[in-house]
Amino acid sequence: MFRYIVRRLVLMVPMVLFITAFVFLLGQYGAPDLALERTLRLNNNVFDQEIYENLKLNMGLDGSPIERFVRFVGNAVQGDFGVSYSLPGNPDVGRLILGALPISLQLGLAALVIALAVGIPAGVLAAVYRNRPLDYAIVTLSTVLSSIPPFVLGPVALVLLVSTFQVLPSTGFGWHGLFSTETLLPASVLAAGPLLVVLRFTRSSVIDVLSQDYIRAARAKGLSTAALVRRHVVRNAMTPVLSALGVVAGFLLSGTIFIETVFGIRGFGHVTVTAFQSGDVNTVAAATLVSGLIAAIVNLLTDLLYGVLDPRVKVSA
Amino acid sequence: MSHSLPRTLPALLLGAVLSFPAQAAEQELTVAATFFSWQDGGDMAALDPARRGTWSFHSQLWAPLVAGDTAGNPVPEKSLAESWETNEDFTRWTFRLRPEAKFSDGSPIDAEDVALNWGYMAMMTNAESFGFRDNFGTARRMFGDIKGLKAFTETVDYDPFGTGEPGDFEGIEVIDEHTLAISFTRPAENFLSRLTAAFGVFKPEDLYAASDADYDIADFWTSTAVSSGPFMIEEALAGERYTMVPNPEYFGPKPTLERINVLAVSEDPNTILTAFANGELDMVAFPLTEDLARQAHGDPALRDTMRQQPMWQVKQFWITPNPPMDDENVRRAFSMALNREAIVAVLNGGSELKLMAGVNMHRSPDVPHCEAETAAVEAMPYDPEAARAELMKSSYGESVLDMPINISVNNNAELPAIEVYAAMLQQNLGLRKVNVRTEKVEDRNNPPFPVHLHMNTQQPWYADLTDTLQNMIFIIPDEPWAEGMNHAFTNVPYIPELKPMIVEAMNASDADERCRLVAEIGQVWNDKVFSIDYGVPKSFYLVSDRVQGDLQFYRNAGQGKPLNIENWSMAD
Amino acid sequence: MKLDPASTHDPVANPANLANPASEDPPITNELPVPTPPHSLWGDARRTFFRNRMGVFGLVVAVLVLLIAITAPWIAPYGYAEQDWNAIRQGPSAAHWMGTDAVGRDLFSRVLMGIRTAVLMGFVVSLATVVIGVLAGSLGPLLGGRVDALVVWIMDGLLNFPAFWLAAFVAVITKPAVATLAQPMYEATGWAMFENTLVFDYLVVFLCLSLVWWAPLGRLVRGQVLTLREQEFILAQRAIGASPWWITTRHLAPNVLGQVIVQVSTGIGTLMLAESALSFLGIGIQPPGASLGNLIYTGMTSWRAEPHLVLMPGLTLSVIILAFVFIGDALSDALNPRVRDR
Repeated sequence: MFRYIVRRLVLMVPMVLFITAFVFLLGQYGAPDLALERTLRLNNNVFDQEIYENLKLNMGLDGSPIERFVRFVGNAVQGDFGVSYSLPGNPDVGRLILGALPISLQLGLAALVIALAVGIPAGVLAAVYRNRPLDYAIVTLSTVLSSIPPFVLGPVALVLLVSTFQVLPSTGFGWHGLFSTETLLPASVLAAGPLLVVLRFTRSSVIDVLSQDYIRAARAKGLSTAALVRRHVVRNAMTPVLSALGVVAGFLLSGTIFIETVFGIRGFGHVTVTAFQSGDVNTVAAATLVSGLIAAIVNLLTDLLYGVLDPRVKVSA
Repeated sequence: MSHSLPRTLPALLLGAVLSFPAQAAEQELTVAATFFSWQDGGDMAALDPARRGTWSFHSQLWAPLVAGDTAGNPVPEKSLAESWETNEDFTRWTFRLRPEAKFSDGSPIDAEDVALNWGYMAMMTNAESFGFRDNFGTARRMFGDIKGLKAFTETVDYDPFGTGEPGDFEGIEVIDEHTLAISFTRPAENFLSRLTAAFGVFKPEDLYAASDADYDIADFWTSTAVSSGPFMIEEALAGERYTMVPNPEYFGPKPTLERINVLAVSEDPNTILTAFANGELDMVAFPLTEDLARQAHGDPALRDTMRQQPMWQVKQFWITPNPPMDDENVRRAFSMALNREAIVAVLNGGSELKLMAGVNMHRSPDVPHCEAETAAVEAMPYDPEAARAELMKSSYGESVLDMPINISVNNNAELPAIEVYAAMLQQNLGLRKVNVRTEKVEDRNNPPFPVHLHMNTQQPWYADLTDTLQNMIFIIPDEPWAEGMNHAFTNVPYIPELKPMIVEAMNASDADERCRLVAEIGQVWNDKVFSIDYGVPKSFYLVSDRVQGDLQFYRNAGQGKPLNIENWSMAD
Repeated sequence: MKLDPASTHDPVANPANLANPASEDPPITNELPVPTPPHSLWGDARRTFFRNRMGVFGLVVAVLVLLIAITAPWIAPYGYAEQDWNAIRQGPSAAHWMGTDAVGRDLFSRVLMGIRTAVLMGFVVSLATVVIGVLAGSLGPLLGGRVDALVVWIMDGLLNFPAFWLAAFVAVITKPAVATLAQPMYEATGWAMFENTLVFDYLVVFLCLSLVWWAPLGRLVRGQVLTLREQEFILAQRAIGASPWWITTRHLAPNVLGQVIVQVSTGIGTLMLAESALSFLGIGIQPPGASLGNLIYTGMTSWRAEPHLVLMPGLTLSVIILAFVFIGDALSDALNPRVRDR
């Protein structure tokens, strides 16, 4: 097991690097020349070679793209991601991301809990009553909810719940902590997409399980539907659902972008969006690296969980 | 309208009594100061004034040397200087500071502190943010005539991340503990007016800390801020919010409010309006976007809380020197093909609220500038036939109809205006390839596509004469635009007679003479068409009736004039 | 006991059936059983599919959408970019069935164009992902060795990464690059399309979505191929010396096709959502081009005052996505050989 983990971790690094390199190098062609901009701004719109060269050196923009990438990785390993040149005050990128990341992770966690807590039972219900009105209703409702873009669902839900029906107390700008009422709405909106995925995976895997012979045997023994589900179905159906967690994590990570913008939460998604809208190469590269690492780790954890829960799957090197 | 103590005090008291009849003693406001965006600097990123231009409540926290009202008249009871005098030709101003003035930590404010503040503002590391080196920098425009200051900024070695020593120039003299004298290279009759738009006085030790290369902006000013103004910081969370409470050491009148929460809010209009309607926000202290304004106006509950301010900006299309725009006839044709009334009607359309006024409405009459002369300068008339004829007279002839014309915009909220103009160009001039480009052009000197027209919101050239003339000097080229030259796309074509006229106007000694020259410049500008103005946007703010006239803030550093709630008219 | 697909012999829903199995048996006779007509996978699938009401509904909508997409320029009452300045921000009326937008363009015509864009987006990108995914997924294990390792490595890398995020990154980054390329391309070829900014909006979106979206499909195909490849009939093919290409197209692909179809049909919905999300970030199709996503996004800023600007394109998008999801569900039910009891 241990060897497997190590092997996966080792394999993960080049993968993440590959993606980061791809984004970073592509970015060199599209990114504005910040050093040039600054030179002109500082020198009355007159270009001065010396100032330009100095700035490039100071901002780390000298050398070919490959050299810059190597330098970036070298620094990143030591924890130095440089500073952001498009944000006022040039904050340190590492600190920026480190401050924003926990918030997004908590938001994602809350959404995950909601997606699982609602999606799994709903999926089981839909599978048990397959092709009946309840199944149709559940699948339709969740599909409709997840087919509404998150940047529509958020504001609409906000207005409906806070002002029209007055179910929630406040809009709550900013992040108030994982267990506050203000987090409920953003986490729920974020959970809409993953909920559908969880629901459908659960439904199809429960349908598969229900058609197995041992279920019919249990039925023959006289087990009621509820007991059947509790004892046999859920545990056996869970393993494919876990494999869906990887997909779910992807949804959550990308969903935070919209949710954070709509609800004014100072998180990782928001930092990334601002970064690439302003051509902030350092932050974009750092964000790619970090999100790649997170996604890879989540996938690794999912695979391990899979191995733990299903004894038939041997997790070996 | 001046804020002399006798008049406002009873009004404030009355207001306070009337507006909080049965409420608890704590009078607390929550104000949305800006959109929640990592890029928006100012007091949300750090309370360091040199870091960026948007200072929402800066004036609440730091007292200026001379405070002013919206007209630029000095307000002594809020000024650090208790009296001032000038010599005959206005080249030397002497200020006597209040001996009792203190910072919020109890240390006294003396002339040395004020001098160091000026020295700090001229420093390299903060210079570019604050504008000393910046082309259109506030400080350079406003205080460039202080003896030694301009020279100082030009000679200091360039070191953007180092820690410079504060500037020490002859124009600023400390005479004794409570007396400061400022000298100028030429007569500065309007210095007081300029001064009222300047920064407040900070504790010098705080400013030096900010210049340290190792300091991170997120650390600063969150807990160490020392104030000199009516309020001080209770707590601050960089990028999100800060809270102000009254400063017990303040020398001026004590504020009526007990706490002000200042927030950055999400960009989504629905969240803001819902929060405001819910009572979570008392004021939206930044100009509403057009959609927000329209929606707020359409909601009967919110309509009465809308206030408006005349804007000192125009919406315009900048013309670049890329062919075919380098031809005078083409530029004139483009200007004549724009039906300004129609475009303003479209942008106002569908709502009772008039978001935009027609062009040629400029600033409020109580500001002493050359209204009469500038009002005489008119935009090109709308005449599609003449425009078509003009277009055909150009050196490109018929082929101009097939040349691609790219209209670029950086902000999607301005799209309707661009689309309407593109349609007008196609209809009125018969151009076949007008493209609306929404790609962000970050690198102005090297845009990914040739830009022919660019959507801009800017101070009109006649807004603030000294500023504008200075700006114009920088952007007008000294020679025709040649292939391969490095030009920002907002640069203007080469018009030989313009520069000498501007220099003459800047050096004019007589105000009337200057106004006359400025009007002439305006006429030339218009005739040769560098920018096509089409409307004057209004700014709207949301102010609930819990907010009283106590609150004063700046809209942005470039404007420099404080905005007072009392002066705002209702939205029409 | 042979299970008749037509009976409701669901052991969970109808346990009574288990109690009386004999009631379903035909009486014992001396007659030979009548041979049933051959049931192919596709025949079974077709029948099952059409029995699923939601699936049929989805199919009808999908066909309708396709028809609209093809005929949009002709059936639209106004041009999609036609501005009428006397009709700004109007609600639905007789003249404008879905109302008008901020510059007086007819929303109905724009929604029709939007459907066209959505179909293009869904089909073209899906096609691209299928081509890349099937090729990568099947050639990898067949060619083995280094090639396989490389393919796996790339696929894993892409899979590990949140797909939309990567697509957004790529789009943001390539947009200026593509815009820069347009001018020299026009000069080189003289094709008018390079001067049309709408073309490279589409190009960029297609490119970035295709580049990223093929990975899950590729993995699916690869999994299937790995299983199938060990099976006898493939070994037999190799024994007779068939080329990997032949094996792929003639034997592997048809077997994998079922799963691929299901993935693709549900994927179309996700792709359309992804495009709308890209519009939100300012990267998708830009005005005056009309895509449902960009219509929704532009309408969001004033939805409380003019809800029709969001509702109309929003409902349309939801219905289209729903339709494809139902088709996908029905197909997966129909093509799944294990679930036989109906």
